[in-house]
Amino acid sequence: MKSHLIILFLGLSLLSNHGFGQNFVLNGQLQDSLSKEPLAFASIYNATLKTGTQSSIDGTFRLPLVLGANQIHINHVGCDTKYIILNIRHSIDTLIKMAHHQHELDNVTITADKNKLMSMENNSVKKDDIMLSLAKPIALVMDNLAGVNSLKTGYTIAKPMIQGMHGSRVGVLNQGLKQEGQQWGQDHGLEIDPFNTAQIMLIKGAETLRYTGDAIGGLVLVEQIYNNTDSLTRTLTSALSSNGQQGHIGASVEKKITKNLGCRLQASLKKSGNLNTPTYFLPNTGFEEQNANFEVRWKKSKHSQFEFSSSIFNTKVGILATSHIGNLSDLIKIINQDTLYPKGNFTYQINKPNQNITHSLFKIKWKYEVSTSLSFEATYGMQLNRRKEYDITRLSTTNTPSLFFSLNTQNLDFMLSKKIHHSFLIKTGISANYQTNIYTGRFFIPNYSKTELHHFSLLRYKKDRNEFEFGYHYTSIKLLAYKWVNATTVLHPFHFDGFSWQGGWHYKISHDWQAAIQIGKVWRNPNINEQFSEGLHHGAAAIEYGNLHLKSEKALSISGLLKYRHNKTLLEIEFYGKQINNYIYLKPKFPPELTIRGAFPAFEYVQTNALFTGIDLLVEQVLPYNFLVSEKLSILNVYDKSDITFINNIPPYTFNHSISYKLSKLKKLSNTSLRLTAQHVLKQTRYTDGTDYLAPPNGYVLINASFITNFLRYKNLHVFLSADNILNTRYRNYLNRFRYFSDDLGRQLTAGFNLKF
Amino acid sequence: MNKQFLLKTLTYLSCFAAIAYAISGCTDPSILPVQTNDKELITTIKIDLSDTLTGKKLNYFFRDLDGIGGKAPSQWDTITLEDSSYYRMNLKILNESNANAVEDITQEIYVERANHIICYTPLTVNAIINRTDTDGTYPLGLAATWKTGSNSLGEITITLKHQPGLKNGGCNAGETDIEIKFWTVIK
Repeated sequence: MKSHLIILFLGLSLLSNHGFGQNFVLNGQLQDSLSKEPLAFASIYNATLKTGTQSSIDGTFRLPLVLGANQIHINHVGCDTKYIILNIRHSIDTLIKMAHHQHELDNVTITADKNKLMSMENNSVKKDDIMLSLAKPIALVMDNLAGVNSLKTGYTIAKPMIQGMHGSRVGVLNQGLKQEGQQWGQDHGLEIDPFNTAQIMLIKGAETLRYTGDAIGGLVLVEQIYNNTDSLTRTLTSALSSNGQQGHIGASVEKKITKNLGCRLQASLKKSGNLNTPTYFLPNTGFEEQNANFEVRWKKSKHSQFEFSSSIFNTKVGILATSHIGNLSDLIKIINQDTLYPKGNFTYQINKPNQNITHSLFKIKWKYEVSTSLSFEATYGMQLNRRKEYDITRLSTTNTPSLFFSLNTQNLDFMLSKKIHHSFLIKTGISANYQTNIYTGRFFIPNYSKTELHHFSLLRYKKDRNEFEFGYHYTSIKLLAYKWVNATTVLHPFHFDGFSWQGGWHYKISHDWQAAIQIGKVWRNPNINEQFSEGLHHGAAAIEYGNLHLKSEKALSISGLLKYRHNKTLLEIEFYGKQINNYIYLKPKFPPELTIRGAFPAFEYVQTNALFTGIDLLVEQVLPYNFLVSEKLSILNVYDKSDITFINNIPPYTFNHSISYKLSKLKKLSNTSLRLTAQHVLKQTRYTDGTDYLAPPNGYVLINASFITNFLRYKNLHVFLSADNILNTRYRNYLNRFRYFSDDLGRQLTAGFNLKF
Repeated sequence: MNKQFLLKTLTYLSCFAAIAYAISGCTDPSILPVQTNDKELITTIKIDLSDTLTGKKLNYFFRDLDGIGGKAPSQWDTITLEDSSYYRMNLKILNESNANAVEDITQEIYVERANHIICYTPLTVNAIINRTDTDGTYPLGLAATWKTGSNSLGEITITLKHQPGLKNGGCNAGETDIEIKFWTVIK
């Protein structure tokens, strides 16, 4: 999607320095035409003079000009670079209005982007890439982000992993609320619909402390679509995918009822049958999804704005039938067989085992601008997560779920934001959360109630080429867990509190070079599953033991970022190191336990000191004839410092080579882009023998291609085609837990369109 | 900001919160719900043997009352049999995790006999075990005859497989619900 951001030059004046005749100055201000908010930290570059500047917090900038034609580039994150040619002959005082490239972003992004220490190209997934991945689960869309992998259980159940961290070490913000429900086990996916997603962004460093104090890995911000246009906007989107014979359809209507009151309604339906690997069908891997979203935005006055969102996500996901196993010898037998037995065939029917999840979200947000420099925000959010797990049961007629969780979360958040002298920005706030969990069925997590109190502050200071940020977040958690033992309730009370801080320094070395360094100390309390889980994990044929005596994790992290952008070249590199004390992970227990079902490997949650070090790299080069080559690289090494062993489930080295070809006009097509990608994943060699049932799989290369275009005559119709795993390569993904049981997916061809009318 | 507006907003917000709370259900996590047990749990298997000649009855147990994990099995008998004898066997499968409500799972397996099979595998024990019940096509294994030979020592493995749609008479396919090795002495 093209963004909809209009940049205005307000109070723009061209002043000449009399006497020199060659030196002029452009004093301007950048403003978002919709929200009227100033656009800070945009880069404005005069290519003729080879000098540039950045807009300050209030959007103002000062750019030198020369006599004659001046080619000016304006670049702001979240929108495409704008090129303007200004002809300067003599001094003029004028006001120029410029319509920036069409773009459908709302101000959430802009606010978040503005607050990032350094804008990295690789830190967001834009509309075109989201459109190309519409038929995939949202965590797989996030794979496009630097250093982000998805940790999967099969294909549909996936959650993001940032620089090797997952679960509650990674926060996901959906519609401005921290998504609740995905933090527990690996087979708890992310309940968010990509059809209603405008942009996905990665946030690391101090800004994460605005939302949470425990995101050691970082935050992923998922932003919903809201066009904020005056006219009625309707869209129809559909995609068909060959693997699983999937059909996806979505529609939305957006309308401004009055000038200040707008609403948007969106819904989508998805259905897939059994998926297939290059050589066989995977039994019971179909899924279906029904989602809806309703959003109202009301501008009560010039200074007061309300946002109301409500959404429901409902899914039923089949779980690979053969992954439901009885004991260690069943598992070993499956591991040793070359193909899957029994082989599946194609059907849309979803049998047991399966998961049936409903996630509803309600949010109301009020933003009040006390003055131009002081604003206030209040948010109330509620999330209801109902999760039913159906195991294979002895009696085929059983219709009650084996396990039913009902997780309710409510939160209230207040924030003040204050600008001082254009160079200081302070945000401070408090929030409170209340969460309860109730289960029925077999034990995995006890019932609990959790009360959290948070306080945070962020400070940002900009001076010349330097920009500093510092933030802290204080959290106090009271957890009451009720465990039933022999039909009586045993109360386990816990209290955790802690203080996290992060700081950063951004330095603009020259127009082309920027550098930033970030340092921080973040803590995380043990999760309820790490404390309490006890018993059998069906898919993994493992007995898991929680540990009531776990201490909080404390992570010290340092990262360095370097960015170079010159004409047709882009280079971004991030080095990071995280030392995590009391790092919690599942460790095998020896010998295997003898049970009524035979031998079972047992695992327990233990703590160690772990060291994460890695590099994420992006290089892009524009070549002649509209070609663009891009190279992405992610390298991560993790050591268990106490045990001198490696830690499992860490992403292997990954390279992404891609070449794209872009044409703005081709016969009857416009904005056509064709991309060919080779995703090269190496074997994870940092593995200690005997710590997993199956050693990490071999490396592989997947070839993917995508094509997106729109028609000159129907500008509102976008057509996209994509092909994943074109060569139908047989492979197993180390980060997919079902690698024990089957190959990963074979070729997948997707075709779809997006129509606006 | 005027005071009236603030008050009005707060009223709306608190109404909204109240409705939200009502929707979310005012359930208390400390209250014991109806069902918190694992319907699939098997804690006990009981081997009933009766000597066809003498009528002597023998019972052997495996018991792990807290299920998989946790405490070690509380009872794991060694099977002792007479040499050159002929026994009728019945297998009982139970969930005894709640002493006040013991569940007999044998019946469930019988109802689902088309999807279950029990296999008996003697190792270095001179015993021949023949299943005497069937699902109509394939053996089931809740009832069998045990024929012992000369004095010997070894183990008998009893396996219960859940084979939904996979049953082919063998014990290879499907999910293992029970797999226990009993020490066996014939004297």
